[in-house]
Amino acid sequence: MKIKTIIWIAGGVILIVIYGLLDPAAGHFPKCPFRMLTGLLCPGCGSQRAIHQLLHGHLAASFQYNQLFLPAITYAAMGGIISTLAPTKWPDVRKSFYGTFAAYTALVIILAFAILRNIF
Amino acid sequence: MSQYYYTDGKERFGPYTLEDLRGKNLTSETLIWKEGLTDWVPAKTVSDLNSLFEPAETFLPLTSAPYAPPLPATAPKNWLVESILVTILCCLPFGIVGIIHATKVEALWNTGQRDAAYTASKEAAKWVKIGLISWAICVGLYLLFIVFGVIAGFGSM
Repeated sequence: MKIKTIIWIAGGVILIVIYGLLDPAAGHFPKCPFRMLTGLLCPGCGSQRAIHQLLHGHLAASFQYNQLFLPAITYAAMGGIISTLAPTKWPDVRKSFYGTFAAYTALVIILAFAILRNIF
Repeated sequence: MSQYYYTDGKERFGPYTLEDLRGKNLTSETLIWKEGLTDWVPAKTVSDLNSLFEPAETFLPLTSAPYAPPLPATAPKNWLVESILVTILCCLPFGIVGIIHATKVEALWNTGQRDAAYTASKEAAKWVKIGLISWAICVGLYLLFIVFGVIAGFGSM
């Protein structure tokens, strides 16, 4: 295994432990710089609290902090699994779900989410 | 440009550039040394000297279209997943820029603009990295504040 892969996995494990043990809702975590600068919610705001809730199995609470977090992480995990385990298999799946159309869809969803969450 | 030495077993000759070596009538068995090698090695094992021993006719394109570069079958990576993760997890809107570039990669590729597709791929990768790095900087600054806060707290006790 490559050193780089090991570092990424180790970093991921450390972050999972930190976010599992500590609740960002209680403070102690860096706040979103975009929020601090503009006062607006960015598409990622609430993700830290959402991760904590997800790691404790509280899907509904996770969804409340950031509605896009669960769908995005599921989609990304699927993409990661497909491209790592079967980089040449299912090229059609990859093309349909992780290609140009998907990128435009993601862009629209994220921008709409960014606007709507600041209105409501 | 690398500097090469060669030896006939008794004397060492050099340093020479690759171009100089062309006129020396070296064989593939001539012992060569260049910086980075620990010992003399036969010239055939030094990959950058391969062109010295190739028959001249291989340099002349004979038939078919020699100018068409071999094309990779698939478009370059569009970094969509990484861009989305940066947008959702790194709390900085750089990921959105990554997604914008991700939309272009395959579209450009499919219309034959391969260089542009590669550029878009690189741009997307760049913004993913910028997002990650700025996230790391924010966390680092935050940790620094905590450390200083703790030290100041102890100092005032």
